[in-house]
Amino acid sequence: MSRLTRRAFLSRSAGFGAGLLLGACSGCNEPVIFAPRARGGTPGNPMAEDAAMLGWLLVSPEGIVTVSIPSSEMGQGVYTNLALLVAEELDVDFASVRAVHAPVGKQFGNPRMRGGQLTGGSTSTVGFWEPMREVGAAARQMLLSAAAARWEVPLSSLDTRPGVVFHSEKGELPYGALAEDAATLAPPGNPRLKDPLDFRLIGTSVKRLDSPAKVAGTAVFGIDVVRPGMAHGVVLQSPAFKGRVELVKGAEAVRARTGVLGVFVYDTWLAVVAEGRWQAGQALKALEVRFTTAGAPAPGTEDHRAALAAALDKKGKADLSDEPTRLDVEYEVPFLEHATMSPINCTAHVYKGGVEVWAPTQAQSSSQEVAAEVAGVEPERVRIHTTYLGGGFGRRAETDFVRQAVTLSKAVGRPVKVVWSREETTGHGFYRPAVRSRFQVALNGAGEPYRWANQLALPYLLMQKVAVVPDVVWEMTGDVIGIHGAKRPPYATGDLDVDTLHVDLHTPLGFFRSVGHSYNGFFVESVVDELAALNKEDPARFRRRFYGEHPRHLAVLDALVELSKWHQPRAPGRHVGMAVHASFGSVVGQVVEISVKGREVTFHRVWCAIECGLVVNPDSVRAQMEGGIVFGLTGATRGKITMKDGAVMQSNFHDYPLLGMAETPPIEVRIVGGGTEPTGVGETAVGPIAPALGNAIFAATGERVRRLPFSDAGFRGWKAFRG
Amino acid sequence: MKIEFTLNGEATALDADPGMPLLWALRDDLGLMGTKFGCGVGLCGACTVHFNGVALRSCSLAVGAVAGAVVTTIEGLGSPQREALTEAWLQEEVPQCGYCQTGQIMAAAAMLSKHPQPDDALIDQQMTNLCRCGTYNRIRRAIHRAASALTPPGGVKEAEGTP
Repeated sequence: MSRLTRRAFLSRSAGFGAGLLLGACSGCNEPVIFAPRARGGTPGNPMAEDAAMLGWLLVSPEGIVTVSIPSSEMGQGVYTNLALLVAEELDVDFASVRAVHAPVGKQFGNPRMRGGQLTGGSTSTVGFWEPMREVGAAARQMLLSAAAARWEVPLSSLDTRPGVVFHSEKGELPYGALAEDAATLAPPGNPRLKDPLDFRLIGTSVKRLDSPAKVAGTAVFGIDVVRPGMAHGVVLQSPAFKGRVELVKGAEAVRARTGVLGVFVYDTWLAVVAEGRWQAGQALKALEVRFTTAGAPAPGTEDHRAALAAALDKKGKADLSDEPTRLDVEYEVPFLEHATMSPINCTAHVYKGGVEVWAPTQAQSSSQEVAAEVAGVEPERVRIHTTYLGGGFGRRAETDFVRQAVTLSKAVGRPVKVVWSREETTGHGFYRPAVRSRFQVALNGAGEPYRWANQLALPYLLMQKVAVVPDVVWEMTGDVIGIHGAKRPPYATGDLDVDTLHVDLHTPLGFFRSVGHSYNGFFVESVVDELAALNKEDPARFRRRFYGEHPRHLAVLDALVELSKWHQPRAPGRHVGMAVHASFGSVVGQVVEISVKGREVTFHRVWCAIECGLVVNPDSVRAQMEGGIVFGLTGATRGKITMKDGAVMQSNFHDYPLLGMAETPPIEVRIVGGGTEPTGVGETAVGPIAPALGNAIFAATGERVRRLPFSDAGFRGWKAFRG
Repeated sequence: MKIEFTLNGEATALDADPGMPLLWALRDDLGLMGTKFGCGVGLCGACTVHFNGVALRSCSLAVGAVAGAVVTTIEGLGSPQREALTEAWLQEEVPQCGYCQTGQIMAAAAMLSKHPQPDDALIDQQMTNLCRCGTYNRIRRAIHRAASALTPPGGVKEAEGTP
C-alpha cells in the first residue's frame, strides 16, 4: 500500500537521542513531538518540521501515541474516532492516545474523496476505516519485529497487550522502549487487521480527546490564532453577489490613522488591515464606500421563484389525468446559510518563498492550491495548519477566506488574521439552493405508487464546484448531488421519472449539511405521507409495505414504531409524524410528537433511529443525531434566506434565528442494525427531520404545508413541553 | 484612555479606546481567547463573561464601562463552580464543535449562583445562548449534574435577594 512508506511512518530520525523535544505547534492544539533534524530538512526550515508530522503516528518514550488526523474536526468527532481506529489495531489503551491535525500530504487524502484532503459527505470514518486501522496494525507489526530483534526470539512467540509487547519468558517491553528501533523498519505492506469480533475499543463510547480543551476554553479555533507580528484584517464585500466596488472615499485619511497598515481595494471587496481588530473595524466604518451592480444580474427572491416555476412549466408534468388516484403537488424550500457559530476567518503569512495558513478549513488540498496561486509559489511551499472549526457544515470547504487572508498578508508583508463580521458571514455564504419540486404520482388498485414523476428546478451546485469536487463526480451524468434523495425513492414500484432542471439564480452555492437530502428528504417523505393519506392508510403501515427489499429501512421503521408507541393511543392533543430517509450510506428515521393550539406548535419529543453499519463510537452517533435534528429543525421551522437586488437581506441572528434551548425537545436515539463496516453518520439526521415535523403538523391540523419554513405558513411557538 | 478593573481576580490596567467592546479588549489586548466572538450584537452569548457577578455579553459592553468593576472570564471561573461544571460537561460529553461552550458555561455558572437548583423551565428561560451544533439537551443534563454536585449536604438555601 503506497500510503505507508518508511519515511511516512513513525518518523523519527535514526540519529535521535533519548531526549525528545516536546513543543507546542501553533494551530495544532496539542503538544507535538517533533524532531529538529527530521529527514529532509534543516533546522529552522519550517518544512522540516512537517517532515516529522508527515508521519501518521509518533510514539514517545513514555508510550504516548500521537496520531495525525487527516480529517477536520468540526464537532463531528473525527479527532477522536479516527485516533480510535489506530488505537484499536495498535493495541494501546485510549488514555495514552493524543491527536493532532495532519498537515497537507498525499498520504492523508481520503480515498472517498479520490485522494483529496477534504472533509465532507459524511466520509471521514467511512473513508479512513481501513487506512487508519492499517496504520495501527502496521505500527504494531513493526513494534513486534523490533522486540523480536532485541530479544532474539521468533516473531511468532510474541504478542501484544495494550501498550506492551510480551514474551512468555522474556517478559514485557513497552512500546515506548521499542519505538526508536521500530521506526527504522520498513512498514509491512498488508498488515492483517482484526476481526470486528475482537474489537476492544471500537464500538465503545470513548471520551472525546478535544472536550477538555473546549470546556476549558483553551482549544484553538481559527479565530484564536495569534502569530508574531500579526495584523488584523476586516473586510467589506459587495452586498450584491455580482456587484463591484464603485467608489471609496476617505482612504487617505484612514491610512494615516495610527495603527492602520493599509486600505486595500479590490474588484468586489475591500479591506482595512490594522494592529487590532476593533481598530480595523472602526477604520473601515470611516470609509465611504459605494458598490454598483451596473449591468450585472441582481435578482431577488420573487425573481428566483418565478424563474424556477418557469423552468418547471416549460418542462411540463406527467399526464396522470386518466388515473383515478393521483397526487399532483409542488414543494419548495428557500436558500439557507450555514450559520456556523464562529464567523468566517483565516490567518495567513506570506513570506519569501512560502506561505503558512492557519485555517478552520474542511479543504486542505484546495486551500493549498489557492494559497499557492495567490502568493505565486509552488503548492509544496504552502503549509496548511488546520485548527478546530467553530462549525463547518460544508461552509468551510470553500476557499474564499484563504484567498482573502493570503492576499492581505502579501499586501502588508506580515501575518494577517481576517475575521468577518456576522453580517458578512450571513451575507456572503455559499448557500443551500432554493428549490421547487413538482410531483405527479399515481396509485394503482393496490395502493402502490406505480407511476412516480418528479421534476426539480434548482440552481446547479456542482457546476460551481469544479475546483473542490473530486474528478469522479464529473464522470457521472446528471446532477448527482442535486438529485440526492429523490432519484430512487423506495416507494416507486413502477415507472419512475426524476428530472433536474437547472436555473441560474446568480447566487453562490455550497454544500450545506446533508446537501440534496436537506430538501429531497422533505419533499419525498412528505409526498409519501400524502400518498398514505390518499390511500387512507396509516403512514407507518404504508411505508412498511415498500420496505420488503430494504431491510435497513425496515429496521429503522420498526424501531421508530416501537420507540414512539406509534400504533397506540396517544395523550390527548398529541400527534406524531414520521419520516425515514436514506443518505450517505445509512438510513435514519425520526418521529416527531407535537401538539398544536391554533398556530402554536409545541414540541413534545423526537425519537430517532439510525442504521449506520458498524458503530465506531455509539455516543458519537447519538450526538450527531441530536445535533442534526436541532440543525434541521431550524431549517424546518424558520430558516430562510431571501434576496433583493442580488443581495442577501438577512444579516444576524435577529433576522436569521436559530433554534434555542427552550425549543429543543427531549430526543431519544436508538442505533439499530450493525455490520462489518461503518456507513455515514454526520449529515444523516437532517434529511428526515423536516418531513417528520411536517407530517406531524398534518396529523395535528389536517393542513399539508409544502413550503419551508413552516413559519411562513403562520405556524409559530415551537416551545418544548416541560414537565 | 487608562481603564482599571479587576480581571480574574487580578488588578488590571488597560490603555484602550473606551468605546471598544470588552470582548476585543479581552481577546486582542489581553490575550484571553476563551471568550468568543459570534455575532457582535449580544444575540448568541458566545462572548459571555461575568461582570460584577452577573452574566453579560461582552460584545455589547464598552470597555470604558468596566472601570472599577470585577470581571471574570472562563479562564478565571472560580471553584467550586469550575470543577463542577467542567466535570459535568465532560461526563455528558457536551461539546461538539465547542465554539459556544465557554459562553454556555459562563451563563450556566451565573445562573447557578442565583438559582442553585434550577428546574427545566428556568433553564429554558435563562440559558438563551445559541448552539448551532444542537447540544442543548446535553447542556441541560450537565447543568442538573453540576447543580447536584454543588449542593451542600443538607440541601440548599436560595441565595438572598433571589427574585
